Amino acid sequence: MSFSIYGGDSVLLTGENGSGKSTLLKAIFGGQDKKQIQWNKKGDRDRVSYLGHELGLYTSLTLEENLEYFSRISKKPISKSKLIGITEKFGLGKRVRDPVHTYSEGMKRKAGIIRALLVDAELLLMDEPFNGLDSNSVDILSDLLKDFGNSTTFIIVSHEIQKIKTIVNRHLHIEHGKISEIND
Amino acid sequence: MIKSILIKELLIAGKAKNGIYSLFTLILTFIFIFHYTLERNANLSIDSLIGLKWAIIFLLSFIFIGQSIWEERESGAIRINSVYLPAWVFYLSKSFVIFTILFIINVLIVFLFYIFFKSMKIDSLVDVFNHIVFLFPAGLSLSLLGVMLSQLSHATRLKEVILPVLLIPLSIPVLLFGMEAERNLILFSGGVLKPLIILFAFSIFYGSLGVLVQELTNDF
Repeated sequence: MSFSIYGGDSVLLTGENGSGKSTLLKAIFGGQDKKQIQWNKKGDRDRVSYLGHELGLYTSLTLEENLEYFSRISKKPISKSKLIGITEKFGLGKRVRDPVHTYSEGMKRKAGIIRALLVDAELLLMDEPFNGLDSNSVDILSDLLKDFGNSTTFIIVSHEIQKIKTIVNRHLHIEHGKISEIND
Repeated sequence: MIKSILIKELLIAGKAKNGIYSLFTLILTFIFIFHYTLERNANLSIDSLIGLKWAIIFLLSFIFIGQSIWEERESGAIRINSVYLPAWVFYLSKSFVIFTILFIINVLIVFLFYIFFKSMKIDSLVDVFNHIVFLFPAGLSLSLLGVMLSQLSHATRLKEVILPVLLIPLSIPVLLFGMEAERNLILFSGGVLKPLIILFAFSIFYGSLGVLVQELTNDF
């Protein structure tokens, strides 16, 4: 499977269940066979952010502690105001100091999205980010991704094609182990 | 960066109250069982107590390592960490925190033994030192080994199966040398330096092997 993504691309990745969409995202992120992914320059890998089916958050820690930790290890410290701004946008402002395990499933999903967005990555990978979100949060995430599209390259795996199509400029489809570009 | 990881690890360990309570209950259960079944009828010898203490330490390390890695794996945070952190930094930081907590628990066990068993004599700080000095290299070995095997189990998708299968045989030499060294020191029955060096050699060996395993399996 071979394909190219360029800076500024916003890509929707579709395919049937089990076609390898999630595996492909993990591979790009470095979770599976990172040696086969060619990066343009050393250090590019550090500028990738990923949201998979798992949250990528420590559930015994608070959201604030999680976000501070991940921003520190990704060497992109976040300001308090930015942290408060984005958590309030997703309706988690008042729960930011509660342990993540006390959140509902939808709130955990939002927390995972915030973690992925706050890294300030150059390449953002999201696997079914809209799953489990209420309609208000879907709109907020869509707006954020539209804004991100101006400065960040992103690939989104989703089955909600009509919704995502308005915020991406490319559509890739995986079928029988082959990836093809859909122009519509 | 190391400071951030250490703070995170300590926060997770500190907030896992249920895990700490269950460990403490487990230690007390072991001690109660041996106290009421054996110590009440006839005093357990110091020789037996040293063996019992090391057996408890092994079980504790096994349970505690499993607990501390579980959240890392289930949350998916291990994948995020693997991208931003060098594998060896993550491995050594996690091992260090597990070792520190295990060591504190081990010191607690020594005092509980003093309360419940007559043969466990602590008259001065030197006695305390004699009972914990070998836990330092042995605890380090068990932590390095446990975290290494946890990463291996995650990478090979064997999950929980591989941890007991490999941890038990690989930790037995550490326990044997630890017990031998402590017996020799307390009962003046033999040399101490040789088993101590061997214990430190195990720490270095498992640590180096662990770093290698982390680097090799970081792709998965």
